[in-house]
Amino acid sequence: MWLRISATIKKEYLTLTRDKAGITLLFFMPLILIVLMALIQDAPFRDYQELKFDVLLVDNDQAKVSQQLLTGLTNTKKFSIHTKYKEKLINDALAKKLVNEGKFQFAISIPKGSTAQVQNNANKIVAKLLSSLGMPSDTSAFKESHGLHIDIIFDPTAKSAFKIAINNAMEKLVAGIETDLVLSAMSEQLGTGTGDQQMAFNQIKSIEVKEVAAYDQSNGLTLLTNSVQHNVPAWTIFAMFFIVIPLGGALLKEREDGSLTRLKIMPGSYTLLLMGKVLFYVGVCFIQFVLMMLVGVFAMPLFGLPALQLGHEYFALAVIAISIAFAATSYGILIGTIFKTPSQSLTFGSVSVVLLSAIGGIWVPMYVMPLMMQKIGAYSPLYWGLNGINDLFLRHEGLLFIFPQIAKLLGFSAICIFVAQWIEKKSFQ
Amino acid sequence: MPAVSIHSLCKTYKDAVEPSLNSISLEIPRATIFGFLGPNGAGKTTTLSILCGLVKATSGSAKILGKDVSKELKEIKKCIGMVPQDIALFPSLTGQENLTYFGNLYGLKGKVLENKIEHYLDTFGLTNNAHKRVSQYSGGMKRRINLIAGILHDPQLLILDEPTVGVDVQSRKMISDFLKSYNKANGITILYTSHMLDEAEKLCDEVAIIDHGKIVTQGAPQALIAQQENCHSLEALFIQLTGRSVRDH
Ligand SMILES: Nc1ncnc2c1ncn2[C@@H]1O[C@H](COP(=O)(O)OP(=O)(O)O)[C@@H](O)[C@H]1O
Ligand SMILES: [Mg+2]
Repeated sequence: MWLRISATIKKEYLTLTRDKAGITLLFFMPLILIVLMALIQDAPFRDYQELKFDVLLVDNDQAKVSQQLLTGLTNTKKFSIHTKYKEKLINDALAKKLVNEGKFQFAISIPKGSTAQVQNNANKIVAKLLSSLGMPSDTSAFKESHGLHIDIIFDPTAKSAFKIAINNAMEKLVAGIETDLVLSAMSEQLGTGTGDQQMAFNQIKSIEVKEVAAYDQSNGLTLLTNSVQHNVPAWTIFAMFFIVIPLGGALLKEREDGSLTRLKIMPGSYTLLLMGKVLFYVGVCFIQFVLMMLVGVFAMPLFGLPALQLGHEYFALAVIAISIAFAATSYGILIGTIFKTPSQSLTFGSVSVVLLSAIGGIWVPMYVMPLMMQKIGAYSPLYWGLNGINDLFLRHEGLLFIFPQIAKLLGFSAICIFVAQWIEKKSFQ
Repeated sequence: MPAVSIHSLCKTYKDAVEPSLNSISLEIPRATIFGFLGPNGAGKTTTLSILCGLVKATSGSAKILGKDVSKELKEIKKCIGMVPQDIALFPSLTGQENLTYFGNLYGLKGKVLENKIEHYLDTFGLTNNAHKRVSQYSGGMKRRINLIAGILHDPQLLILDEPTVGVDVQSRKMISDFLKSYNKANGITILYTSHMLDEAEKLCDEVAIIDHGKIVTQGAPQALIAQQENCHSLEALFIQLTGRSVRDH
């Protein structure tokens, strides 16, 4: 059994290495492709980076809290804040309507009297603090009060990860504002604040803002760090899927030159020969992958681009690469079986890979695509592959985390082979 | 037990109106050279394809060495050698590499396979061209490699579909000489189709003439010629039985 597989691998190797044009197409074109794409998309990617979320702010407070919140949100550079819509000041009802209609992703509503409440709270805390330190202070004037709360209205289709990220960011921001007010109340009570103290407050603020940015990054709001980080894996997967062209072509050529007939009249299973073929081309795809990763890491800086960050999970990376290779190769086998002429398989093969790549977020990241396209794109094997690699590169996750993507890719591969076999059997008459 | 026995074999291809085989019955004794003759489109390739499991019969039965092709194909494949009508080789591999690959698929390897390939390349005068790619071979050379690929595993029954079509006189002579000696030396049954009636007349112990999917006549060439009036060759007999009209399928 192994002899049949290994002999087939050797035969495929000899066939491929004698096809100089084929080798060039398989290994050099993709390298040029990823470098070009990374260069071309360098500028647009900076724009995606600065992609902002449009946020509505309903300011019922019109005082210190709402001002600070506004500054805090603006400082993160991730949000563009609107307090008016078509020249009209936004109230709660209008905000709800606009968000529900999907015109804005979310709205923040600051209740009336928030500043007064926070200030009141702050004073109370300071008074308590001072009285516990044995200093005289008047606490009777302060009303009983609750902590500051703000309302966030989300688009009903918003993903829960997005909601959690925003909620967390807001909590941090609000806590920061509260701390700030407590500290300033304290400094007021204690008399004039020194320069040092003022600095300390500013530092606290800037820390809060940074945390907001860091948090939403890890939650996929701004997944992509740069053009290299998107384009290298994306076009690597694209190039790997282009294996369907030489592979489908090779299968059809075997059919045409009659060697398939001979393979079929030989004893032993044809499936083993297919397996040998699949294994060989999986190897080819894997070499493509490694080469392109190396170009990402070492060649990109030569073009003035940042180097590709591979993450730390090399084993998981190899596993997802091999899974992508299996999916691509099996798809090639299927195409080589369905179509009966090379031009049909060439056309369908290339167009389908381009389409699957477009909807799968290869050309532009998935999150800038319309919602409906994102839903369709989730079925693209290229998307599964890219998603898995991004999980390793950007989210620093491991094998277990990307298991669903691996399972989907291998499942797709199994289905392709199964259907190809079924078609081959059916055509036997 | 005969090498091949076919009973009322019928085949109508999907979407075809006319049957390609219309109840063919045939028995081929062991250790004979059997010629299966007929004009283009008569049903020769279809019959051979059913025998080696490439095509399914619509009805009827076919047995090879006592085994039913519809049930024991696996066993049958091991003991038959098939040389298809179309060259079935990998053009970008050399003759040697093609034979090594096919030998491997038959489970042969190492020195045994090497010696065998060397022997047959020598027999067919291909030793000097063994390391050239098949795509650079002449028609006759391709035919010869195609034949070797079908006998590497020492089959008991060798089936050849027009092995001498499109080859020069020298290659043709080489092939027919080989078939004769292969049959004599090893007692191998040979079933082959051809248009070369003079070649068949000399080579075959027995022939069957098929036309429009039916067997027209069957027997030893000399006996058949003697039976028919005004006939001195197989070719004359063939023309008398199948008519003069040209067949373009
Ligand atoms: N795959 C096929 N599908 C439909 N018809 C076929 C197929 N193969 C052969 N035929 C038809 O069957 C008949 C016999 O063909 P074939 O066995 O190839 O003849 P021969 O080998 O004697 O020239 C012809 O009429 C041919 O057109
Ligand atoms: Mg034929």
